Amino acid sequence: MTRSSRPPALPRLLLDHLAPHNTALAGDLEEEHRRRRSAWWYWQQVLAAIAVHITAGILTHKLVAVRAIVTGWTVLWLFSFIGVEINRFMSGWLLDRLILVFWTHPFPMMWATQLWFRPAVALGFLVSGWVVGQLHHTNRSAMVLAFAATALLRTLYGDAQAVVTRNTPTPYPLVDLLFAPLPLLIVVGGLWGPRIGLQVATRDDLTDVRS
Amino acid sequence: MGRQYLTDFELMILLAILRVGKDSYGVPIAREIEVTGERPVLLGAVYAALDRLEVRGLVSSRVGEPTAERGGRAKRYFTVTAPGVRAVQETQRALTALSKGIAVLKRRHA
Repeated sequence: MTRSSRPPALPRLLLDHLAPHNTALAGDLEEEHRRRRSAWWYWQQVLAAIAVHITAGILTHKLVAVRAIVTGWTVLWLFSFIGVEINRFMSGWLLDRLILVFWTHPFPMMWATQLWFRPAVALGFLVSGWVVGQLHHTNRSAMVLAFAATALLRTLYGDAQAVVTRNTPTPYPLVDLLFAPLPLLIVVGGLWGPRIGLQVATRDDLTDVRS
Repeated sequence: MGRQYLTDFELMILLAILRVGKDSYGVPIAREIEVTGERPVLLGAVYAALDRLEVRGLVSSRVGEPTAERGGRAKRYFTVTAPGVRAVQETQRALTALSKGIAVLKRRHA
């Protein structure tokens, strides 16, 4: 039995961006989904395929992965100098305006304690991811994800340490939880935009052009 | 070229390609392993292993025609090369030699 519907859009998008040049695999998954498999099966296969692609990419290019991670952290460190200026604006001029507009509303307090530094952090993750993505054309998704994983681990470690030592009691614990996955913006930045420079065409790319 | 031994998954993939024959692309290879090997198979893992085997010269691949059923994507057909067949034989020989004379295995199969 063949279904007319295409597989779910989100996993297809993830497969295309996080495990590119796997045209035959993407075709096999779509064929199986249309014939007899569920959306749940498709999701499982796509996530596993991405994990396999990323792991293989890192293991076969270990030094490049180390370079990507070092590059990413260097960009984050350099960005912190610009971040100081952004933070000054966010906690100064903008906070003043928020107080004027919202007056005693809790939002300016939340901004003053929890949110003012987040835009600079988010921008830093986006920019560092973009730089890593542009500098690592071969296995771009694997290299970007390797860097993102280290940033995510660092953030989670920092959050866990704060909870355990209770040295930064926060009035808004849910906000902290909400922003924990912020390093994933590295992936957005890393996979965003066209690839600059030469690309080595794969067999599957040539097939796409011919078809 | 020296002897090439295979992991159990690589051996299963090569045997599946030999069983399926000329229509060996990802889906029938995975299905063959699922049915005869009685284990669930991830297509991504199959392709990763096939890529490794191709780099080692144990399989070769060619691209077929794209079809609408596959969202306009082409199939990639695989064939076991002569070194691939030798690798299967050597691995099977090694496994048979290793398992010979082990009492526990004899009892289980009796």
